[in-house]
Amino acid sequence: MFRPLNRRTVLRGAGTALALPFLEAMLPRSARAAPTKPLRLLGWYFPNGYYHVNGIDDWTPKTTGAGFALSPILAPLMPVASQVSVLSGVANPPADAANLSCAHARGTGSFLTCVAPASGSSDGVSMDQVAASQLKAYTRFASLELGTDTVGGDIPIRSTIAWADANTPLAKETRPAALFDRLFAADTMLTPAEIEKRKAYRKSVLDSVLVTANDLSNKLGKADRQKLDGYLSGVRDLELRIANQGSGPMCTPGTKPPATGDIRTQTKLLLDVLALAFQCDVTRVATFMFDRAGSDLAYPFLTANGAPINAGHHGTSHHHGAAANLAQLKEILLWQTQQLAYLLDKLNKMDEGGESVLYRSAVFYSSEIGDGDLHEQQNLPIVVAGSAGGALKPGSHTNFANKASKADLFITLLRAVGCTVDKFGGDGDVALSI
Amino acid sequence: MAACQAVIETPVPDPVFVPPGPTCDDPGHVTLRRLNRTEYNNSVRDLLGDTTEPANDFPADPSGSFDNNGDVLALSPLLVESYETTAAKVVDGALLPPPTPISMQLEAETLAAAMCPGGTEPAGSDYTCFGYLPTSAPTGVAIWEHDYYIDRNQALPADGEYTVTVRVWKAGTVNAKLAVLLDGKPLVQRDVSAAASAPDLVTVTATIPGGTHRFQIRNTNDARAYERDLGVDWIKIEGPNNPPNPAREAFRAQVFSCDPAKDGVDACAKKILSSFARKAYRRPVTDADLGQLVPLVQLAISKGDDFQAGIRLAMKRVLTSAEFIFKVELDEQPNTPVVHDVSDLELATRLSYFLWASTPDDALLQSAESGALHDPAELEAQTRRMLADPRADALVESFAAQWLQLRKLGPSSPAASVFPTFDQALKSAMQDETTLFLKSFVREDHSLLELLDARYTYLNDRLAQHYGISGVTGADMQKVALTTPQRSGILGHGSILTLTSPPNRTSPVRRGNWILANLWCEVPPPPPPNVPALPEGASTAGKTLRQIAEEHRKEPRCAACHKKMDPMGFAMEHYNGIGEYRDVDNGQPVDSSGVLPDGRKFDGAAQVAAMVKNDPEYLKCVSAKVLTYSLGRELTDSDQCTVDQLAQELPLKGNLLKELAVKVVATKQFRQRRGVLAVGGP
Repeated sequence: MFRPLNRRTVLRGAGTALALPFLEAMLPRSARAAPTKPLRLLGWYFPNGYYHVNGIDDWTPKTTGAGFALSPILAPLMPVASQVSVLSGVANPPADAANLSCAHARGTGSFLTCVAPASGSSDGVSMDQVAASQLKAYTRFASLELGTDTVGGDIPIRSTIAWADANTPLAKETRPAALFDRLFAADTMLTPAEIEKRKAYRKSVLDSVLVTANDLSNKLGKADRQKLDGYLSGVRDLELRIANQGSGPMCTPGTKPPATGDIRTQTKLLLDVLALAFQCDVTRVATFMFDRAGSDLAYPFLTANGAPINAGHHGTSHHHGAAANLAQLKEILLWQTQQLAYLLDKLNKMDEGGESVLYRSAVFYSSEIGDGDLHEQQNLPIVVAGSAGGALKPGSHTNFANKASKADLFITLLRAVGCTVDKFGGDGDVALSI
Repeated sequence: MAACQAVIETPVPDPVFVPPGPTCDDPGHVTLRRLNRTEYNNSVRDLLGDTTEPANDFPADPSGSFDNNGDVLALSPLLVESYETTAAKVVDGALLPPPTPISMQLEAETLAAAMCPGGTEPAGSDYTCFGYLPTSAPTGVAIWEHDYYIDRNQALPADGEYTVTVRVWKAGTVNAKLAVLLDGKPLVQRDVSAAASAPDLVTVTATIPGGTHRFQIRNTNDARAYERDLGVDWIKIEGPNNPPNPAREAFRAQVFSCDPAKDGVDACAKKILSSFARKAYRRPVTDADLGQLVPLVQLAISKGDDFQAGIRLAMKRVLTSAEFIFKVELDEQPNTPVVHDVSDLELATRLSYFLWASTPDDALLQSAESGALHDPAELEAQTRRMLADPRADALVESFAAQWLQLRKLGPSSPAASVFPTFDQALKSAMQDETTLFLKSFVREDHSLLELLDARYTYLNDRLAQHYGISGVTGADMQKVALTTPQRSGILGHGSILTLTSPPNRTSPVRRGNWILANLWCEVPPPPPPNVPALPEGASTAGKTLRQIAEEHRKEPRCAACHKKMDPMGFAMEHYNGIGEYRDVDNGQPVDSSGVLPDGRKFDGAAQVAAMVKNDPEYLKCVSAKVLTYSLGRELTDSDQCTVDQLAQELPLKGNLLKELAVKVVATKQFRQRRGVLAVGGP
């Protein structure tokens, strides 16, 4: 079978100066026929699920089909409703097969991978990274991993949703200003000659560290080599990025965001930069992770029944059906939807040759579990937004009665953005019709 | 509700290798470990004398029991990028010659013309070129609309103090309002009333990092008046006006110890880079190493840069390399479980990152290079020397702070509406109290049992007031003798009591869980799913948390674990969610009595503390924690007899932490390693 050339292999083989434009043979088959305008994929995580208890469910729309009525929690999506689908009754059985005691950890580890994580630091390839590996030839960044949790100190499957491979969780950028710099900063005061010199220096350093790291890799056992692989591929990625610097589409990114300690501002600014990154085609694949598995954040800036929400989210998510808890959860979930609506609205207003960036995207928005008390891996709360350039037909609510698997949905989304995929995760083998 | 935060995953045993019985012969396999953020910061500090903690900007580290666990410390492209950019930053920060100050006077009309080529604004810009008009006297522009501005991206040569001056006047009939912004943030705001005949000089001084920054002059007068124009002549940027830094100059002189003109470029480069790379790689430098480094010096020179720039480039390469980033340990047969001693140099690296969370110093490297370090007497002597060094404070900041979860205090956020007295100053004092208390176990000879009942602690006026202790004055932390058991030992520390509480109340379950997990190493499983609601009609009015929880605990699925967790947690109920002492909760007297399933009874935190420390599990737990941290891997069943042995010997040595460290260093696990039988081939 024809095997596409690996771009890295080419670069390594040819030595130095091969920069864009790339050879078509290096592109995956599906990408070669790719349209001139980009398609994007975003995976978005919010923690602790939602609630459906004693007939109370403020998340799931009451009606199905096209023209469904948005539920109270999803109401903020009204301005972009024609680009939004709600999927209920989707399950992710592999997560529960994991031999890990914590349901939040299982669900988060499996959130975009749909496998049973083997341990706290071992997972599968996430769907965004399947896309990134196929679309990276087009953009400076294969993918962006964004998140709000600056604390860290947790096991990877609780704090990461993007996995390049089973052993490589991808760290998140949490600071909007640093992200902006990484994507857009150009040293405008340097002359072209100085910029070229700097690039040559960086390339020489990276070439040199690759030589010794490859030597080292040959001396290591299998287990240790896996750790070094993350370093090696990171160095190669960086070499490519430096080589491609200054090429590709240019756009005006606007002003660098300020530093912030407020999670509301942080979230908004991260989403601003993300929208710019899509608009400027700096990347076509991204994930956004709000806090982490079993988040116990308080939301003192929100009120429920007239009082600020000072209790931790995870505690409240074990709602026991108590009205006071549900009232708080409703406000928290509503706020989360508002963040999604903020981004979707922004993407919807970005014009790309008569279509919006949102129309040319596929956005997956969900949580690590269904009901917070049940810790379930079915009845997952899922919003899919965007049309992926026409491959998706948003604007409806479908109830799959827990007969659909999330992995199948990911096959649908990956194909919608032009990726080739046969099977995905633990149980994905056929695209879900949505 | 404990959010399964404390769940430590069961270590995954090797699929094939079965340790040979209970003889503790298996030293285990430590997965290749990269430096974590603390270790990176400390290593850079010890290599370059740079203490600005550059790794704080890295993506947060994942963590197992500790954040030096090789199995969880993954390496992502974002981190590799951080290594590369940070290497450049720290090397330049330590070794660039002092910057030549700049003095740039930028004419307003030039800025406006650059922003508006041909009089029109570029597509996508957020300003309009009608917003500023040329003026005649003095030559400049008038910014005539609210929020209109002129700006300029200006490169600054280095971090430091800069003076920014603008020459402005009132160009309309009402006062203009000036704002000078740096990267979007106001540096200075001022009403401008000076006439065009005598413009105002507005000057501001600010500390600004080197690199390119956006300077903006903005008219912020939003009065509904037409004649509010701000006249601008120019903006001047001067600096940096840095004071001389003798320590940095001394370090530069020490690094550049030879003269390439006299000694030859290659010879001088080899001398400088050998010394630097030896410390960074933690081993003697080979010809192959220099074969990678010296050409970079030559490259820089060939491109017109000087020798020092070449050395800096090669040093950046050293700090970007896998051999700096990873603590490399090799097996002769990496894919078989053959047990062998780690090399002396690998042992030195294990030792220094265990005790200092940093790179070995010269004395330790010399000991390893001479082949002496594996000798038990030499190993113990080096361990004791290093424990006496101030760098051993890392045992507190890195080991103990994680063991006791002190790092969770930072992100905790007690609700202002419930705890109005809580603020950042109090939180810092709590943090300092526990840190200083723990340091006393490293710096002085205190039994680890005292961790639970020491009759001293460290307070400042703020924290003493919080605790209701009189006679402590001043904002500085000071050692205070305690006369009652209320604050004796770690269980009375505000830090622990706060970090185990949700924002708005106490959580006896979390507190009980904290004691069990950290002091007895018993990790309860997370709660079963779908715990049923409180009985119909159950009302919380007038009931203490204990009464509510006791009803809840009637559910048999929950009882097994909570029977142990809850009583210990409820014994702490005299402390509220920010550790203030109280006798009443929700209108009822606090009941801090409890009994464990095995019949042990207690009342209050002091009695729990006594029970905890007198239980043999406590010293076993401390031993297990120290061993885990020292190895950078989770323990397995085959480590258990080593833990038992450490705990048994500890009382013979006064239960001192440093003696425990000495014993840990002498274990097979610390001195040896093995490969892993590769499943499915190497």
